[in-house]
Amino acid sequence: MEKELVKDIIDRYESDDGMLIPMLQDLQTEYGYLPADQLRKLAKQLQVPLSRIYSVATFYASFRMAPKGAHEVTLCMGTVCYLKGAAKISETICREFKVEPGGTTPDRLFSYQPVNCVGACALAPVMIVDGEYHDGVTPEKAMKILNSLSAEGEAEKAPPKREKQEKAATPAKATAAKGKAVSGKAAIKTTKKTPARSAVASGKTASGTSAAKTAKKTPAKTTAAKGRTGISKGIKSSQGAKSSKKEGSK
Amino acid sequence: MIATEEKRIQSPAELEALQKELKKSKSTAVKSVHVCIGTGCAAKGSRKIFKLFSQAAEEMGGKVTIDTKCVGCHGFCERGPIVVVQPGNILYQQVEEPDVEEIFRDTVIGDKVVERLLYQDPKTEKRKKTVEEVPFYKAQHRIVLKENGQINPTNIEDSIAIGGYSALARALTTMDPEQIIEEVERSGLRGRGGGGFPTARKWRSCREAEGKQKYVICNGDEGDPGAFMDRSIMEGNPHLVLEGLIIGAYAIGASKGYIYVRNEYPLAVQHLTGAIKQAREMGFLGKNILGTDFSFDVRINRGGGAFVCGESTALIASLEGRAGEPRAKYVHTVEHGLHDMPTNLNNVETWANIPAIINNGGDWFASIGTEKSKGTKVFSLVGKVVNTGLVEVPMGITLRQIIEEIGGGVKDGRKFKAVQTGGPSGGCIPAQYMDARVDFDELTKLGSMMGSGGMIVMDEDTCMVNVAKYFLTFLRDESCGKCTPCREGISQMLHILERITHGEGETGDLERLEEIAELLNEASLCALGSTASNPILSTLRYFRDEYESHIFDKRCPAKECRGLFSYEIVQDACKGCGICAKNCPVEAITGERRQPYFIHQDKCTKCGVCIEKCPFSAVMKV
Repeated sequence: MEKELVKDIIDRYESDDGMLIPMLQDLQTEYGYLPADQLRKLAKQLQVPLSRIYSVATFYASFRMAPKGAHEVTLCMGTVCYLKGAAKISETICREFKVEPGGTTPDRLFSYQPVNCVGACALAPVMIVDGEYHDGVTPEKAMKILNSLSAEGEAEKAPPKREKQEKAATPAKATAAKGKAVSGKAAIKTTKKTPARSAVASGKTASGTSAAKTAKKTPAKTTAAKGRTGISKGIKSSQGAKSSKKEGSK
Repeated sequence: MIATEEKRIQSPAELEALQKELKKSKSTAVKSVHVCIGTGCAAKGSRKIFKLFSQAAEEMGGKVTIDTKCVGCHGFCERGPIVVVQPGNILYQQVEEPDVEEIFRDTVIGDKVVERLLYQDPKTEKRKKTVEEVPFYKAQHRIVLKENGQINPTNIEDSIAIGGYSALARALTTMDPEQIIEEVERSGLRGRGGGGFPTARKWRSCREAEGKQKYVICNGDEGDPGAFMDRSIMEGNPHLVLEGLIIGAYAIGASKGYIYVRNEYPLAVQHLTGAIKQAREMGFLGKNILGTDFSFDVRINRGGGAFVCGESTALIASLEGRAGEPRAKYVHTVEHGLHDMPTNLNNVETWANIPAIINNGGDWFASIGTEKSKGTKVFSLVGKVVNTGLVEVPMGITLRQIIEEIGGGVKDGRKFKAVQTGGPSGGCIPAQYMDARVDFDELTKLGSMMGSGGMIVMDEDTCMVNVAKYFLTFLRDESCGKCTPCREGISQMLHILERITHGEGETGDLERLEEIAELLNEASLCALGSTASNPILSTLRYFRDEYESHIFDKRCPAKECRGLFSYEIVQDACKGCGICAKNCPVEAITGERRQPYFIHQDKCTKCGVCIEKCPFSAVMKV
């Protein structure tokens, strides 16, 4: 099936290379990120230079080049949210979960993406977790929500998966550390894009061990599946999440 | 429901007949309940509320017909979830799940009003029953947002029932393209995306340009932080945008259209996709629209999350599958746009104004507004204001009317400091200009701009230097990097601002900022760069003293810039619980239990943890 996916996506847009962005969006919907091998395939079949695909994929903030975490956390950094303290929330999240903006926590619990504005200013500050909007967020509230993510994960996930995730934690941590060291100067300019790139670079070296490889694949796939339902059902699914969370807390 | 099979409408007469039929079938319902499912209300659980209402209506069985529907944004997001019961236009605000039963029993079945859920005027403490009575709506004049809140955005029949696509029918069968452009010209409509370029002139240039294929584009890449007008229009009334776009395409002679929507607006994409599909089935899109010779189709492209793509040439690059970098302006997109073909690009709100202009005439539209800015403008009134939400007001209204009458003034009784308009390219307008009239030219004169319509209210606790820094940080991240002035200039300005807010400002910094700003304005390739200095220039113009006290006194008057103020414990308020000392990361707080604690300023890093943690609000910024 995987072999045909790229071809299928290209066919959807009648091999029109002007539709490169929708193609990449579709690819990302499937995988949760843009895997390098798929991009190579796309370049070949669409007959455009890989460099152009890479330039597009790294130009737009919504594309990611590294697998994302089990949950997706978006923090609005729009003017209103900023005035109401979003920067402090972001600082807290980064510090407490050892995550960089645009990156994924070392344990792959969630990917963290601060965005320009989600246009829900009446709710400011807004944080979106897996499609569910949380309003009036404070650093404490954010921590509470994100901490309940891990609790929820523990309750939901079967033990074998957890084990794999824990295994993943070690190499991933190394990745994060490396990412920080590598990014250095570049990070000053575009914090959004650099961590993803460095993660890919260091991810390659890390994938030497098979543990890292399997660990990398499993969470990514589950995320992709989750992402799909999340997009199609939108707020509906988020309500499901809400109710399950309530049950969990009981 | 009307049969779903082959339903392409072949003529305006057929459309009119269908409209009458739909109107009749809808009016049989005794009562109708409208639940807002705009992003704001949905986040507060309005979908569940809608479900409960639907269930309740179903349980009534055939006894009485009760129409429940989810509708687009009412604009009063502050008080969401919003539920409106018809007839009577009764507005319930902040409705929660347990309230559904009461509303249903009293208002929907009975004729009583649930007093406690009505809007209460904070000044008079009187409850307001109908939408019209609420001050938030009173001063508004709604053209574009008129039908938001009345129709289910996912059902084209709802739109047709209240006259949707009637302007299209009129345009296609009774007007030729030149007449349409003349009508738009008479209306004086100017582009709502920010620049305010006369729409008719753009259309005419594109119509007259040579090319075998012409395109129309709807710019829904609403990137300005703090602005969500376009989102609400696309979510709440996608057919209005679509109808305007089709009429424009006919006037210009385009056969293909694109709607470019921000990636952060999934609901808008969903509703527009549905609207396009339904419009195609109905024969408003595709070959031989309404039985005429005119054929046109449209597709949606989702943005990739780049602010610069709101710029027309960058957006076109993005539609061509390239990185969204703008190009020099001397090549006009109306002649050489998408795929080098004549292309007409307008903002969502501009397109959404077209059907009303065709239906009511350009003169009607021109009768609203000021001499050079006609019609209405939708603003998203946000920030430290009591009534956050979407407001549509006639051009020429004063800032004071918007902020005080509609917005209900500044939140928490704080003092008004400034209002920021125009997004990152705009500027801050201080209190002494509260009586300025809002239109394209007036705002530009004040050093700000209309922009796409974000209006962010700031109170006395807002540091204006920090605001400028916020916008510059935003613009630095979003600069595409193609031209040097923008890429390097913004970075340099930000660097200076950072020094200033860290207490390292020097004499001459302000002059240097002005110098770079001027250079950016002159030399940048696109509007992002040339207006990037507006946030700095406008704050320098009105709040220069604040910059100076950062630089010379090393003080932040609003006590926002870390390091330029200090924390102190108020002796009388401190209960001596010791929480601050426990949480202080640098052990700068000492004291004995049950005795007032003390912050050692030499050790304090001004991280602010103590003020956050103190349960008695005994820590103060001084």
